[in-house]
Amino acid sequence: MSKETEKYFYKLDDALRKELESLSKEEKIRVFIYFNEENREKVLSFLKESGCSIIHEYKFRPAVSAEVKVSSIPELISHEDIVKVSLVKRVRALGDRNACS
Amino acid sequence: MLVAEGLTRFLERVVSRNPYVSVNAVFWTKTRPPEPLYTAIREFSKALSILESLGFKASIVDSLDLKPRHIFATVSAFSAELPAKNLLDIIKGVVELPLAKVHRVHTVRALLDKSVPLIGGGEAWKMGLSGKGVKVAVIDTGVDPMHPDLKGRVVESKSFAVDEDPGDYNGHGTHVAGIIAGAGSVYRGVAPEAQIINAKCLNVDGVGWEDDVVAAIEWSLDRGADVFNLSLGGEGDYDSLSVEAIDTITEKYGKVFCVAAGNSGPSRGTIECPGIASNAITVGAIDKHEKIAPYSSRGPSPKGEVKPEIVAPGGYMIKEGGRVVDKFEGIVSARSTTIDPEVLRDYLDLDLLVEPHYISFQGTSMATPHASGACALLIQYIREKGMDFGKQLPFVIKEAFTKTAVDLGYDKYSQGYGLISVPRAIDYIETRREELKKLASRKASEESIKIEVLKTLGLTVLTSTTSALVFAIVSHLLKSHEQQRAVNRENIRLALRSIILDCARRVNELKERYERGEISREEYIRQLEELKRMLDEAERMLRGLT
Repeated sequence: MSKETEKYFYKLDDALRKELESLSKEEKIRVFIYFNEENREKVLSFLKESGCSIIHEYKFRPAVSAEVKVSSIPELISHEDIVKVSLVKRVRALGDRNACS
Repeated sequence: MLVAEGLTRFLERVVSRNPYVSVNAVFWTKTRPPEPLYTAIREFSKALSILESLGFKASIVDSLDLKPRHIFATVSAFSAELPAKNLLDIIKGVVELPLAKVHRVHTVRALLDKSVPLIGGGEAWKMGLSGKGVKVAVIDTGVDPMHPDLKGRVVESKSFAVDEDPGDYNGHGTHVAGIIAGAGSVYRGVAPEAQIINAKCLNVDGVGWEDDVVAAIEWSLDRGADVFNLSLGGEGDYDSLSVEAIDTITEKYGKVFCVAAGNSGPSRGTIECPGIASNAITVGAIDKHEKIAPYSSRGPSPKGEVKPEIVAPGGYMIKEGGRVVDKFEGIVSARSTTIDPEVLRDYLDLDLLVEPHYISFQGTSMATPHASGACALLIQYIREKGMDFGKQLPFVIKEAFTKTAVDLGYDKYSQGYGLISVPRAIDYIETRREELKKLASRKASEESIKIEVLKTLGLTVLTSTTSALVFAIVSHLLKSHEQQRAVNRENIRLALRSIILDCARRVNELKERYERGEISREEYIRQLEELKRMLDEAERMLRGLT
């Protein structure tokens, strides 16, 4: 990432930063994108133009989940209305055949 | 032909006492039955023709006095009842049949019948409570709406799992739903008249994405869910969106979240995400002998809160040689009729099946729906008594369960406040109506102050540090004199200054404790960094206000 975008690194969470180290630019990754509510429409159209495929748009807080190319992350965090980008983690059922000791 | 370990010995013992005593067994056939016949016991001639197609001559079936009970199609097997002596003859090869494997079907013991009374479910039923009118969202692998115990219970269904319909191909979600609202005569759930909202977000392997979980929560909220059951977990911290969704929706909409603690015990500090959410009722597991299950995750939460808050029956089965020793040590509940054959094979290998419609599982996943069902009973009681706690309902319920939980004698990070008890919680609410109304109004004023503080500070996104700071500001304002409680820039500025001074004092104290050798270097650095983050953030906020 360029020096210009490095100043926006604070918008990335630690888990995403770590994940990005092991991915190539062309790979896709599932992330949460948090933004300023007052500019929701502006951000959503920016995301679409940037080639992000939005998976879920949330109502309880201004955020979406999306699948994005690693190479597009610098552009995302440089956007003034995007305040945070974090990694979407996996969850699993906590009881079944795997829970037997 | 493979014979289950110990079966020959068992049969010889039985035959020596009475050769004609009936036993139930599962017979694995060499070819797959053309269709299932779960009612084989009542449709003998149809069952006989299916068995004939598998190479079992009618005359031999007759001579063995073999009565088919259920014929399965997802696996090459059928269960049947026959005299012990004849089963022994089959095993010893006296009678030759086209079989691959044989094992005995254990006598069914009603474990939900044991686990539900353990939390006082039966007493609540006697009071006329059944969860009627309460909607519980099952955020899981899907729910089988055709299961006999769940028919008519599942009112809404949607799948958020990629490329899968809302059906349950794993079996986990249906099992969970059965514990909450199963209406069977033997395996009866905690709240047998509660309605289920099936919000599927975990796939056939029981795995999913956190963003799908949050979407499933929002969707269920729109469909009027009162209680949310999350028998799932993974890595994450207070910045996770699932944690934020739980904490926010609890406060803003007055909904109750029961979340599994995790199966990463017995080490301390192993509560999984989103079980760490402050507003969730986080549930740990005990076995049927009221002992903490070793796998049950232990607290505290990363914030130092008591987690799990309560424990409930989750079962504990020991596995030896790749098989479960006694499946009835687990929790027996509804088994999805649409389980994927590969997944079902794993369950069969572990010997988890109990009759065609039930299965035994263990985990904090099974403890959590006991709590969700208990919440449904309590909500019904509160509504029927005309009590209205508004958005503070989840806090009232949490207080009632934690204050009345039965102490099992374990430390607070293993059992929380103890074993959940429905009748004791009902009694608590009944006798403390006024007190609880005051608690509700105090919480409501905290919430409105928090909203004002967020607005004044212009905060829309909360990190764990800003969230902790906002909490500190609200606490400071609430402790202040009446005239200083008003939420304005000046009072927030005063609160922040006081927080900064407090942080600086805590840094000095921490340094002294480290120098006295009371804490390790790692702990010192961790706490120091946390305080530094708080200080930096508080100073940044203060600059923003001036």
